[in-house]
This record gives sequence, structure tokens and C-alpha cells, in this order.
Amino acid sequence: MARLENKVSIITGGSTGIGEATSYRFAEEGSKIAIFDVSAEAGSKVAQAIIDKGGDAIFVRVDVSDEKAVEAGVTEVVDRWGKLDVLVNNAAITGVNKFAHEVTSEEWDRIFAVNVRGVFLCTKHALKPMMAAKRGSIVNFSSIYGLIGNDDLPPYQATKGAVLSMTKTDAIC
Amino acid sequence: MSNSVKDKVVIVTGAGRGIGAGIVQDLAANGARVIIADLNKDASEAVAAEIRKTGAEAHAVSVDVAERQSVKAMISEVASRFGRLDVMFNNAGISQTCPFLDVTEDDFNRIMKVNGLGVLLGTQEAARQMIAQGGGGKIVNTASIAGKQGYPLFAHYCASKFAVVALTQAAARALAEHRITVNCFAPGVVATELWQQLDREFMEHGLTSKPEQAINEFSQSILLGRVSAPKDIAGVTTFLASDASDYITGQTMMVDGGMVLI
Ligand SMILES: NC(=O)c1ccc[n+]([C@@H]2O[C@H](COP(=O)([O-])OP(=O)(O)OC[C@H]3O[C@@H](n4cnc5c(N)ncnc54)[C@H](O)[C@@H]3O)[C@@H](O)[C@H]2O)c1
Ligand SMILES: NC(=O)c1ccc[n+]([C@@H]2O[C@H](COP(=O)([O-])OP(=O)(O)OC[C@H]3O[C@@H](n4cnc5c(N)ncnc54)[C@H](O)[C@@H]3O)[C@@H](O)[C@H]2O)c1
Repeated sequence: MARLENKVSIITGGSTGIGEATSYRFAEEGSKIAIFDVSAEAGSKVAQAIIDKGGDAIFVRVDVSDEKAVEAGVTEVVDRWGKLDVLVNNAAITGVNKFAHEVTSEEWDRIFAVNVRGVFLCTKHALKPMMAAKRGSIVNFSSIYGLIGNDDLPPYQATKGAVLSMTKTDAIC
Repeated sequence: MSNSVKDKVVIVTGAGRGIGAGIVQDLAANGARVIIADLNKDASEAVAAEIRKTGAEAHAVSVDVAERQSVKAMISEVASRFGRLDVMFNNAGISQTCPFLDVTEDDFNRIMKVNGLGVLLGTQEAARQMIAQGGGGKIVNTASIAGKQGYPLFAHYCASKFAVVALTQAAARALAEHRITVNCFAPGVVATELWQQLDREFMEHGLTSKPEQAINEFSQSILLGRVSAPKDIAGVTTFLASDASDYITGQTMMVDGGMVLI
């Protein structure tokens, strides 16, 4: 097995849920893991569990909506392991479950800051080491809500549509 | 969860050469028991013999995927020899370069019969065996970028590959209660004998003037900057045959180096 032997991967939102499961699975396949998350306690436990099983992992406290934190986090990863192979943009919030006429500008901006600006910022800073190495892989999390419309979580659905669109344009550019 | 296909009994149609041969080679290398099914028995025997040299299990059968009796006979031969069928790849397919206004009834029916009806028959007969043996199963169909876009020189082929996507979705909905998943994958440009034939036909229609001009021009827009080989497809096909894909059904996985972004 070991399909990710010697690879270095950043997994955003890797402290819980799908990101946590992704971190463990990547570690089983041989990747070194950097968990970028705001949830420090849970994230440190995941990193420690990977190390206990003989893997290599760090937790870095990064709010993906904060450009300085993202830039510093990527620099820390590259300084530590010398490269970056994979970025998994998994971190997201569901935001408020209100229709357009009820959503405040602050609520709208907050979910876009995490789910869309977060993907943009992590991609932007990950691209520097990836372009230097002339290879790399970026995996974004959209959702069925990025594909279909539904009367649930309207601002969230808009963010996941944006992620789908960024995925296509970033692949082309 | 495992990525394993070890000991799974897998039929791949059209496996005498090209993409199908690439699919069975990777499955066999990962421990599957493979059945190479093709209209051309000599070709499938040759692929099986190569695989057996590596120590893996491979068996050749002849089939015409467009004839129900032939498909039934293949499935019952496999069921009696191997005791079960875990995964069915409906991969056999044909194509033709033909300007839109020139496509005849015969052209249309010939392509549709192998690519469209062939997938229906293969799915039905494999599903009947999987339902009878119990425990579910996997069906994987070969679609194409031509199952997502209409191209003017391949109208009837595109219609047949849209049909593959439709049959995949319908079968996924119909067979889920039996724990049978149905998916397809969509290659872009794969350098096989099929493209050599299309390339010749471009020249015969006066659409291109030299060998490989058609494949090269058609491949201009591939994001990853090159045409593919069957081994580029095998990562996805082995995944779709493995337990790691158990929660996926009714989907089309593009494996085209980035030609159609959906
Ligand atoms: N759970 C589902 O049903 C579902 C369905 C479709 C898509 N998704 C997507 O899958 C991804 C993971 O979802 P999940 O269900 O595992 O969610 P989750 O809430 O369990 O985990 C999300 C993680 O992201 C972290 N996070 C939140 N804001 C952050 C920020 N600003 N900076 C850094 N980290 C931050 C959280 O601390 C948490 O650890 C998300 O992109 C989500 O939109 C989930
Ligand atoms: N080559 C490409 O660029 C490309 C791209 C997208 C999709 N595809 C699809 O992939 C599949 C395989 O294509 P390929 O390029 O390997 O083609 P190929 O012509 O190299 O091989 C096709 C094989 O199918 C067999 N076959 C044909 N009709 C049959 C029938 N009625 N019953 C049983 N076997 C039959 C042939 O004998 C041959 O061995 C086809 O479904 C094709 O439409 C190919």
C-alpha cells in the first residue's frame, strides 16, 4: 500500500469530522500531516494519535480566513519538511440557516471568509512551494449543496458553489 | 476500509486490447481473479496468457456484448467456473469518425447496439447473477468525454455514450436495494487502436492530411498537456472495483486529464 509515501500534506479542518478521518487515512498511506485548524485541543490529539502509531504529524493553529496565519502555517510546514505535496481544503462552517431576507451582512461575510476566502488563501500560499517544485495536488471540498439547490443553509450553498467554480478555474490557470 | 480487489471475480469486456487490457492488468496485479472477455478470442487469450505469466489468475472468454444469449452464456460460464461474480466492467465499445450530416441509420444502429444496448445487456445479466448469489456487487461502465459533450464528428458515438451515463444512473437507482453499485468512468483521449482507426477515418474524410494530426489537434485542450495511456485510467478503475468505492453509486468519474470540467 503506502500510496502517499514521503508526501507532505496539509489538511485544513483536520481536527474533527471528515478532516480528522482524512488525516488518519493519509497517515496510514505514509504521508506526513500538518493539521490546520482553529480547534487546538482536538487537533493536537489527532496529531498525537498519528505519532503514537508511528507516523509524523503536527498541529498548527491556523484560522484559514486569516492570511497572515495561513502564510505562517505554510512556511512552518515547508521549513520543517522541505516541501509541500498535497493541500486538502476541508475546513468549513455551515453558517446560519436563514433565507436571504433574514441573513445579515456580517453572517454572510463570515461564512464566505472561512469557506471561500479560506480556500483561496490556502491555495494561494500552497501554490508557492508547489509551483517551485512543478508538482502538487489540491483537493477542495464542495458538497451536494454546491451542485443542487435546496431550502436549507442558503449562504452555505452559495459558498460551496463558489468552491466548485474555483476548483475548475484553478485547474485551468 | 480497504482498497483491495484481492480474490474478487471480475469480468472486463473488450479486454483483448486497449483500455480493457489495461484495466485487467492492474486488477490482476492487485490480486483479482480476472476474466478477459472479447469478441476477438485470440486477443483475449493472449492477454490472459501474459497475466498468467505474472502468477495471477486469468481466464479468457469470447463474447459479443450486443447479443443477450452470448452475454448470458459468458456469465453462466464464469459463475460455474468461479462460483460467483463480484464486479462487471462493461467496457467493450466501438467508434467511428463521421461528419454529422453523413451519419446513416446503419452507422447509428451499429454504434448504439454495441455501446448502448451492450451496456444494458451486460448490466442486466450481471445483476441477475449478483442478485441470485446475494451480497451485492459492482458494475462499472466505460463512458467517455463524449458522454458529457456532443462532438460534431462523433454524433452517434456521443449519443451512445450519453446512453451509457443514463443507463448507469437508472441502474444505480434500480439496483441499490440489492446492494449493487453502478458507476461509470469517462476517459478523454487514450492512445489505443481505437484512436488509430479514428485518425485514419479523419484522413479518409479529407478532414486531416497526415497521420496523428487528428489525435494531436483533438488533444490541444487537455490541461495536463498529453494524451493518456490505459495505465492512466487504471487507478480509477481498480478503485471503482474495490471496497474503497462502496459509498459511490450512479456517478461518472472523469479521467480525462482535464478536458471536461463538471
Ligand atoms: N458533514 C457533511 O454532511 C458534509 C457534506 C458535504 C460537504 N461537507 C464538507 O466537508 C468538510 C468537512 O465537514 P465536516 O462535516 O467534517 O465538518 P466539521 O465541522 O466536523 O469539521 C470542520 C473542521 O473545520 C474546522 N474549522 C472551522 N472553521 C475554521 C477556520 N476558520 N480555520 C480553520 N479550521 C476551521 C473546525 O474546527 C473543524 O475541526 C466541509 O468543507 C464541509 O462543508 C460536509
Ligand atoms: N480510446 C479512447 O480515446 C477512448 C476514450 C473514451 C472512451 N473510450 C471507450 O473505452 C472503451 C475501450 O476503448 P479502446 O480505446 O480500448 O478500444 P479498442 O478498439 O482498442 O478495444 C476495444 C475492444 O473491444 C472489443 N469489442 C468490440 N466490439 C465488441 C463486442 N460487440 N463484444 C465484445 N467485444 C467487443 C474489440 O475486439 C477490442 O478488443 C470503449 O467503450 C471506448 O468507447 C475510449
